Amino acid sequence: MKSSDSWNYRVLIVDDQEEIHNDFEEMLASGSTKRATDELAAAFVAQSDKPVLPQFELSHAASGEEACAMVKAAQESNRPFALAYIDVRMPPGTDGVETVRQIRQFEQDIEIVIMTAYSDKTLPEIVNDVRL
Amino acid sequence: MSPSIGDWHKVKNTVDDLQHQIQLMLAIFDSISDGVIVADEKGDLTFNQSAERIIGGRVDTVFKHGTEEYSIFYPDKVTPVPTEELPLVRALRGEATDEMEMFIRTAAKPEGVYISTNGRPIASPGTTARGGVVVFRDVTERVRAEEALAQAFAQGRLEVMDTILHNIGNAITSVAIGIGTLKEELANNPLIERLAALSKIVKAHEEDWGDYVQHDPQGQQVRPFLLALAADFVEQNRELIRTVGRVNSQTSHIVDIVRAQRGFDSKAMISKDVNLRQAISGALKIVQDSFASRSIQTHVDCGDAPAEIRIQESQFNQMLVNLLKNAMEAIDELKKSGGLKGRPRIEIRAYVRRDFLVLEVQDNGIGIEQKNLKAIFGAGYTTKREGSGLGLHSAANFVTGSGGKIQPLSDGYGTGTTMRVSLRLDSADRDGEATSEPSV
Repeated sequence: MKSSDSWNYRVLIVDDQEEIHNDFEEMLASGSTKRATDELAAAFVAQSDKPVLPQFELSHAASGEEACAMVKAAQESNRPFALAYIDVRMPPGTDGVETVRQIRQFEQDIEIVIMTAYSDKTLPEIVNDVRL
Repeated sequence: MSPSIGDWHKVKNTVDDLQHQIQLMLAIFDSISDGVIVADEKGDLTFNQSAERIIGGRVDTVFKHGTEEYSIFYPDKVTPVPTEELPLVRALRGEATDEMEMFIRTAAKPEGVYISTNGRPIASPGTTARGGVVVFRDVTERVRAEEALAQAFAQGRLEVMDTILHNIGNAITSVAIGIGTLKEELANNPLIERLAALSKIVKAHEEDWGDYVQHDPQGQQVRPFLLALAADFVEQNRELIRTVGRVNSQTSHIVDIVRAQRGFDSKAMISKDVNLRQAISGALKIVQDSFASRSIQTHVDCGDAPAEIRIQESQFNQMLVNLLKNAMEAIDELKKSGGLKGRPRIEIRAYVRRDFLVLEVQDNGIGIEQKNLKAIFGAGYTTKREGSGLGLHSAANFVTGSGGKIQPLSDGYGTGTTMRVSLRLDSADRDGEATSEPSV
């Protein structure tokens, strides 16, 4: 997402399982790992034109309540999130679908991916609950 | 010789006695709570009031199939009992039946009734049957209780399976991501390309190496590039080892869950010797992910409990998981209401009191109000928005069905709960206790 000055790579991961946060770190952050030889390599290797992942800025929330507060704070400090990955099942407290609904009430620009390993609700039910 | 007056009186007295006895028999016949139907050799029926009360309608057509008024099925409620298999018909053929269960639906009792019947031919020794009798009683309440128990067990099992599948799903996602990362890192490793470029340069400058590294601007970069490359390889190796470690630990986690799950898949209701500590640690493995995401501390103390207990393994394991889940949900509830002070904690204790193995699961969750202490084991009781209310019900059914007792102990809202399960130890268990190592 392009904001007024630069591309926005701020991503929020919302899940109650620590492992999932590690998975996201591995997927989104490892491709952009800086190597000591990155600068020096130009003198020896023709620059590879392989697409390199941008430097994502990952933030983490363990519950729906925490996620809403973080999205709100990011918006108020004018550094909004571009994207949020939100898990459905996060007991106790607000579930992912309700979290999406609450976030949408004050933040329309954020892209949201709802994810689940197992869902209590069908896709139409989720869509209806979020009232997209 | 014609009968005398005295004889006549004797006959009359006998007839009176007989009539009195018949009336007495009829009174007894009608007063017994079991249904009784008697058929003579012509198929004419005599029946008592209980027979009509139980079946709900006219008995004389009950055992004649083909009428629209009655439907008689096996206990599966769908397979009709063939006429020749009906207990009374079999009794008339000279065959006895014992405890044959049937389901009868009549216009008066459209919800149906389960009966258990015993049929006997009526015959003098050595002769063919001259009639038949069936005695039956209403077992609807018992069958419905069994059905509810099976349903609660299935529901409890479903909840356990749901947790297991969710945990395995999460672990497999991590494994897939780890393997994807490894594949990507190894297939498109830029460090290999950089090393190859360096090696090519070393070969190309074999003749003028000294001059090249001293005066050539590229040559001057060789040393720092080589040092940086070595550092990169060391770092990359560390990352790869970390990723392999995560894949390995997730794979072990899946193996652990599957192993713990084996204790739940036995459909047989037979008792066997179950290792108590292993059962507790297996149940904790099933809920481990949910506990970890809530930072729940656990403490297990098996005190003087026997190493093995004789019990229905799958139901016992299911009960343990349900008690742990229930304790976790009680903590969730208190946390939701903002009343949780300190770290969430669940303690599991096992010890022997007289002839009982006592198992306690204590949480520092929401607690139970005095007035609800009894209601909590009923089907459908739940304080949770998403709970089915069947977990504890199924646990309680199992415990009481095994001749044990389950008691909730709580001082009220916000004070936590201890679920105390007492299971009777039979002689086999005490043998186990004697041979078990003393625990610390």
